Amino acid sequence: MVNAIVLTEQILSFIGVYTIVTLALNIKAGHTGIPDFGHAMFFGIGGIVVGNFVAHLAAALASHVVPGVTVHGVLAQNTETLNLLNTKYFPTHPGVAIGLLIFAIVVALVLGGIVGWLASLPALRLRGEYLAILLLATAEAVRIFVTYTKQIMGSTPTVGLATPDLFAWAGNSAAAATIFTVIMAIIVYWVFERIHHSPAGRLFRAVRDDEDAAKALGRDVVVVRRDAMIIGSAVAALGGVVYALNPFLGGGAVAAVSIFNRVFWTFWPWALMILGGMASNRGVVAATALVGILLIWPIRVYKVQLAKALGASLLGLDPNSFGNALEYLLLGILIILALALKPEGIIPEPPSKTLDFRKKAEKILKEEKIEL
Amino acid sequence: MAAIDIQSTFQALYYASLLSILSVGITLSYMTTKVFNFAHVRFAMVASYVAATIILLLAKAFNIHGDFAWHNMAGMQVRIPLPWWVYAVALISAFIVGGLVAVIQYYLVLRPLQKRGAGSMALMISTLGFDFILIAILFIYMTLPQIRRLTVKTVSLVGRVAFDSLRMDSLDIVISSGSVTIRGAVILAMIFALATIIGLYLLLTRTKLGVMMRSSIENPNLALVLGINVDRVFAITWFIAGAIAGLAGYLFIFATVYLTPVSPTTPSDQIIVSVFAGSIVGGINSVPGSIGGGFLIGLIEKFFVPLLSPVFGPGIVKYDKVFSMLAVALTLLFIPEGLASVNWKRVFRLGGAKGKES
Amino acid sequence: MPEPMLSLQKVNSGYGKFHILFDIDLEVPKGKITVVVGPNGAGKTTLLNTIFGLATIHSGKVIYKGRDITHVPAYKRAKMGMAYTLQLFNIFSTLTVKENLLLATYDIPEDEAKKRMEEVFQLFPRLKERLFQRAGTLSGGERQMLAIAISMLRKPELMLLDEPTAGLAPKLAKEVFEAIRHLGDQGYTIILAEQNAKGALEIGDEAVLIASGRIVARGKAQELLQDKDLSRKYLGLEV
Repeated sequence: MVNAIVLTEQILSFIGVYTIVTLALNIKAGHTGIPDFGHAMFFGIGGIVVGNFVAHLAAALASHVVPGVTVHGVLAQNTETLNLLNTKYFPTHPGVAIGLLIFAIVVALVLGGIVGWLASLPALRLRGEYLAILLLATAEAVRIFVTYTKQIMGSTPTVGLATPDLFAWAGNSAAAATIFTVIMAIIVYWVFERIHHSPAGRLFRAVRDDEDAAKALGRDVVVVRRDAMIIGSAVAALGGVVYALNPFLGGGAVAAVSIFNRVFWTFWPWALMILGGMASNRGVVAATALVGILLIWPIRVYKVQLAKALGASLLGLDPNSFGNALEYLLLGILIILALALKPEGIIPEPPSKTLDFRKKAEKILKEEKIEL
Repeated sequence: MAAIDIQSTFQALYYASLLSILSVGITLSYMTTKVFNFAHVRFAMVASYVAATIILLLAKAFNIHGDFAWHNMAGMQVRIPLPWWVYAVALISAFIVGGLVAVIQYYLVLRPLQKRGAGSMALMISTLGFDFILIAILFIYMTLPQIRRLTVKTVSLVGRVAFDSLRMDSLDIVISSGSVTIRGAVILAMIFALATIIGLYLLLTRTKLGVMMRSSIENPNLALVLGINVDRVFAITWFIAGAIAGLAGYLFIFATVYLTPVSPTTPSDQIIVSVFAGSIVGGINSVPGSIGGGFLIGLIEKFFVPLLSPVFGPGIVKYDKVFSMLAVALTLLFIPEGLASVNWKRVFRLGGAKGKES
Repeated sequence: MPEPMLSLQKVNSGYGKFHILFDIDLEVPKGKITVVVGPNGAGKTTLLNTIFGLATIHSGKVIYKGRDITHVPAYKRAKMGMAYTLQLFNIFSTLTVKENLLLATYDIPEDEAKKRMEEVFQLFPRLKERLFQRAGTLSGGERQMLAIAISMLRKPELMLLDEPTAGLAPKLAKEVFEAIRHLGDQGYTIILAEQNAKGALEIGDEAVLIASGRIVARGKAQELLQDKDLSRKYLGLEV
């Protein structure tokens, strides 16, 4: 049976990382109307930053302190090197670990932002579902490239790289990682709430609601959408850092198949965003918490009991696989029901005073006697 | 490894045929409902499961499983593990099941949402939701005791979770002569692709139903005004799209070793982006375009990319999908309606030097 | 008074959530031409769409030949003897001329379809020459012929015409109006929605005037034409 504290930590970690990733998607898709189906690619960057960059840096710093650690070893003898770092170096060097943590956050935000900006260059020429497919294809190309490039993800794509435990200096590193996850989620939520109520946030939504009117008023729509892409992608990369450092999420390793997985980091956030309410930060947190507490973890942890309670064994069903099935079934049904019954989400977008571009534009154009 | 030999050429042809029959389904459903259907390749998986269990159960019932006979035919060794009618029953079931799943999605998910005024993004997400439900159904199906007896444990790459999978590799017909071995699946795939092309061509141009399909796609309101039940015509189109996917699913059972409901290495999850690529590069609104596009993407990944290995080293073949994704990006940016929308006569008159992508 | 061919009772309709027509009461007498006029965007096309079931009816009833058809789907109304010539996109341009014509007759017995087809070819020999050509490649005039031929093939009891003279030169428009009058004299029941109010009212029997989604006036077509106030206010006519 699972220990109650560990279960709580697991649930909090799940909610934390999905809050970050889904809010990041929300600024693009919900607020600004960019249908980003390549979200996982930005998330994966955070995983690379931790699993590759931070590990290299740590090895460079530790190579004079801990015998057996070499920079070259991070890729060549990945498990051994990281094991040495996690047991012999980080526990005794908390300052370095915290420095590396800050380094990871900053680098992920910058890299995520840059890749988001790059993706926005060709992407924002397109609209709607074509843009969605373009971003999906781009993310897929990046995923395949990363998977098979040894210099990035190590020589075995499915195993990936062991991650540095930057909380090894704390008494209970798993708890520390969980607290870090939750704090990051709270900060991200706070920042996005600020953006939501700022003029920039209103501009995002105005562009989504009425591109033509925004254009007519001289707002550069491409710039607005680009900004949303940069912010959203940077925060998604931060989510990747959080994932990689949290033992309940990454499990001590990052692999291309997990951090660039489009089901986990693109489709799930989409589902959670639809469920919570597009452009509603509170809705996203509520949906994530709801799915995290009520559905996912009880199913993952108690699936055998649950399957028995639902009579799966009477039907001759294997409780283990039935548990797997329940997760997909609930998520699929929730998505479709939400779209059919509550398309605005469980907590709809708060009716903020958006700049009513169309009215304003109409007024101006009326004076100039031009029809919109 | 030599870059290209007969064996890998056949493998490339198999893959290209598979993609083309799946791409045309994406296009058919997009033309009617204006939605990119993420569940499309899962139709093939569902059909694949049904066909596979039918074969395994029939083989068991008639006690012919594992009793492989080797026949000599004009100097060639041909291995036929099961009587032909077992394959035929499975094929028909795959075809029908694929179509039925598609019709269910159309009537239970897409139509109701469209009637409530859902936008194209909402519809796209709903296809993901339906995909998840299909995955769940496959998981549950796998756990039935009758099916479980047929399965083996395989290990997923993500999280190293053990899955129950159907082991299928012994079913294929293999024709070997000397050092060359041709798998039945390769020939079957080409037959299916050809049958799809001819069948759709005849259906769309020579039958009343086909003309109704084309008219309803072009102008649903005018079709309604002439008394055509556009809803039903679209549902039939979805059935056809799903049934063709069912053919692809039938191929899976010969070409893959294990069937698993979902994993990054499951056929459906691995090829879905290539299938979309075929449909988009060929032309999302063109039936012949999508067939050609799927074939082209298949050849790019499995034929042209290996040709590059003398230059870039054999490692390049792992990046095959990067090239097809690049083709998608270029297509969407420069010719969003795909290769089918290009006025080829004009391109050639302007000088044959210009490449295909221009 | 004889039973009307079609009547609308307190109909509110639109598209999805959008509400366009309000409390429409309308009676269309059998064998007469009913003209629907009104300014641009008043809801003329929506009214025809409502009658044919292409719009969403929020409340009210549509009665056709004594039967409540409010919830009958559009394709079934086509089988009940209604025909509708759309203003735009009224042929299938990716299909051949022959396929266009076949579509109009696919639910009619083969002999009868053949007979009607011959009638059409007598009227429009041009179409017979173009039979295997894509309809999209036809000239503007030929397209109009094809659209009319499609409606004719259905031998309707009730014809809905949406701006048949839109974009036509005045002389041609006059000919079209005369043809419609001719059909009316043969006993066809016609609902004609027109932007060209003067021309339409001149040939019409009954008339309704719509503005902003409501019926603001109704009566004999000639009377409406004489009403200076209404004509000036809604139709921009100087009488």
